[in-house]
Amino acid sequence: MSAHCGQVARTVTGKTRLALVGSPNSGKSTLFNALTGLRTKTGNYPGVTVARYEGTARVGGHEVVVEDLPGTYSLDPISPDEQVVADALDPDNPDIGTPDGILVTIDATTLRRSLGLLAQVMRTGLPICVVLTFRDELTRRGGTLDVSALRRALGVPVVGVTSGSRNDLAQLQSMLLDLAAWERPVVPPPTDPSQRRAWVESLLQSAGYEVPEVDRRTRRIDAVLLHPLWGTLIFFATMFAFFQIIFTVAAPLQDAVQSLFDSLGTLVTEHVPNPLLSGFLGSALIGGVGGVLVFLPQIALLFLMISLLEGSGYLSRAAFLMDRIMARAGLEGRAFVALLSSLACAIPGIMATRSLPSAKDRFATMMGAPLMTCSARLTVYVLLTGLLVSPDTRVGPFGAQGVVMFALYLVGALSAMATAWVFKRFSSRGGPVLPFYMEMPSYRLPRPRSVADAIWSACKGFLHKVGRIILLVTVVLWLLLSLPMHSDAQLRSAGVDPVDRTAVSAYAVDHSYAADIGHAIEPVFAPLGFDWRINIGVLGSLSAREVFVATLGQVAAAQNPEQPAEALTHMTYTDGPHQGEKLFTPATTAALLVFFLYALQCMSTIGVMRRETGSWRWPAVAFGYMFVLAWTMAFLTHTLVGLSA
Amino acid sequence: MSVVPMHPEATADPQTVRWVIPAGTLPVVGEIAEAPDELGKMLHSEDVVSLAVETQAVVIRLADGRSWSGTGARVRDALSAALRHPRQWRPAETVTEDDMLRAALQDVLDGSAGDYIRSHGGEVTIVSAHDRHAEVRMAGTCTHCPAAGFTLHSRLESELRARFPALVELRATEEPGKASRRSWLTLRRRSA
Repeated sequence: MSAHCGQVARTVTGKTRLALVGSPNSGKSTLFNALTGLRTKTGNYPGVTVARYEGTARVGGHEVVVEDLPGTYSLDPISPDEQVVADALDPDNPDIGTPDGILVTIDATTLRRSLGLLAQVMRTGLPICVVLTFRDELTRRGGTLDVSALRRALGVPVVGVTSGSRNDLAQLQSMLLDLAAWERPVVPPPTDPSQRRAWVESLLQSAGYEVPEVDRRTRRIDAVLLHPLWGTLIFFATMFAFFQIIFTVAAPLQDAVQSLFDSLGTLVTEHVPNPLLSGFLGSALIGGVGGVLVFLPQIALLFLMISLLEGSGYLSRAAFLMDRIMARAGLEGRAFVALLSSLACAIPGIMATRSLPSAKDRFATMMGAPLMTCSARLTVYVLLTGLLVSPDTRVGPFGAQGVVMFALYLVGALSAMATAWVFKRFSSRGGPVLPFYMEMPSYRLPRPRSVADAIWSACKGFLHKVGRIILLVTVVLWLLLSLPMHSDAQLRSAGVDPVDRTAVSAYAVDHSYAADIGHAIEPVFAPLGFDWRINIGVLGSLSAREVFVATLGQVAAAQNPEQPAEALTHMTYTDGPHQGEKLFTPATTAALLVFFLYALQCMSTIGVMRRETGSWRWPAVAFGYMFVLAWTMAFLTHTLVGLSA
Repeated sequence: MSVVPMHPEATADPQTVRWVIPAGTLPVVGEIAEAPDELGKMLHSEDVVSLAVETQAVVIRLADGRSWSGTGARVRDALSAALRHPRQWRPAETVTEDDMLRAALQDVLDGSAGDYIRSHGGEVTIVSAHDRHAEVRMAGTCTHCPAAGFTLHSRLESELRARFPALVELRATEEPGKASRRSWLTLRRRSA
């Protein structure tokens, strides 16, 4: 879900420019990827593309610039993403260069509706080529369509492209070379709505179009999956199973990576004589960055499952089920789609709010989106859940860790919706709710290539993040944790044997600059049970949530380089009223989990919010309210768990 | 009243456009002398040279010097309005029910059903169209084809009936001399 995030469309000039226009989920992005060889995120899920996106297609030695536009049902825009399309095709708009030609993707199974959009696109007077998609599905579902009759009736070229067929694609590619040869309609379609309906009707008649019956397979599955009671139960059961799998399947993999890093740590302590270098390698790199890297299996698994749910078409059903609940609270279905996108990362979620017609609803949804559990939280959750409950604890037949994780995701989602609702309440006085149109795509087998792409790009993004921001912050934290240097004399006077390296590094950490900073903000977090080390982690996680894991990993590795996980479990308060007591008590761990659930510790999210709203006001509001909420909820959790323990 | 479904299709002649309409919209075929309202005015002015009705289309030819890109929208509006008054369309020559039947049959043979027959070497020609009965001759590969009867009834007759609902019967005459052909093995009932 993250391929479109943060990328700004660049405009390449001087070449033939083609725009891809079509209804949502008509296969634009799949076609775009096939033409350009790029890997834009695709899904069986309307609204995957919300921004303009450009790529270059090479055809017989020539380069053609192809621009993927967001899906739209008409050129009379009601939301910002539809405005993007209308602007891009408007020759009078000076800001955006008008394309030289337009490829209109039309889903053969929803021809009637698609032709309405096509009529509008044909009014632009630009050369047009229709790309007919999903013809294989039309045939499978018993529909008929005479493509040559359709071509004759439209007066523009029509090319049928079946996903994955090289022949079809080659035919389309050969057409891209000569736009001037594209047939133009003899008389453009009418603008008057009733005349346009008559035009569409006549085309369908001429092309012998038989409306495909709803896929029988889809209908049968939907009878259960969209059922108000069973459907909802199945949805929650699916999500529940999802988190069980994250723990049961990923755990052995994670252990394997962990033991690799552990043995690396041992190697470093044994073979690197320089204490500074060995500290850097052992604590910062292996303990810190390695501590984050062990979560790669979980990230891969999360995206495997999301892309399977998405590619099969189930995510649209989930949105539909949730829309019932959300509508009762006066929230739009589109808002839920945006929230759903935030499961991977809040950034595409915030971008997806562009599909919301009302600005107020957009801001309200943007305020809620960062509360959805993103993949960065996953690492923190897995680490802390591991400290909170042992892998052997079971709730009935289920692993307790998975249950805790499910609860965290559930609470995150409910809080996000509640927040959006609250912001909507306060910002608008209940204007009319615009109709929400979300297609239920037929169930399709997820394409292995799309699934692999999704996992690959997620893992790549994760590694990228680990290699840059997390590494950078970890190094800074390592410096703060290791400085100032202590002379042997100082160590001896403090009662530390300078030869015992573990004792020295533990002493250095406890008397570092980082400790000073951590102690300085102790008054804020002491009521939540956090000590200075957690404070430093929380502070560091402001840059990216995973840094928290890296910080704890560093501190633990400094204490016990061979068994950092062990060290973490038995970590105690080093000073203050609780000195010597276990640090990660259930109360503190639960409070930390809740704190991470609510706090907005992500600079990228803040940056995107600033860009999408055009001011610092909304990001400031979001950061403020989320911090207060996080602190309050964590305090309540700490108190409640502390009392019950 | 709802708008009659229609769309333009280009023809080989750039001045001529076929406006496809549903069969049965107009009770006339052939050259038109008088059309209602604006379309009639255009026919008498310099804009439109000729106006002809087919079973499923109105064929309009613009005067030289007029272009479809310029005049197209006006013609569309005029045609759309005129199609609401089918009784006010006056043919250049008197049109009988037989003419309507013959035109409908010709339309079927010119269309996809005819294409299908021609695609494998069959030939179909009109023998007669009279008093709601029509007769065709199926020649070429149709002559010995056991599926000819099927094509006649399931394709030609049903398509003709869609265009001319009053149809009583569509028959095929076999070529003289071939009626008593022998075959050693036949699945076709002789009486059919």
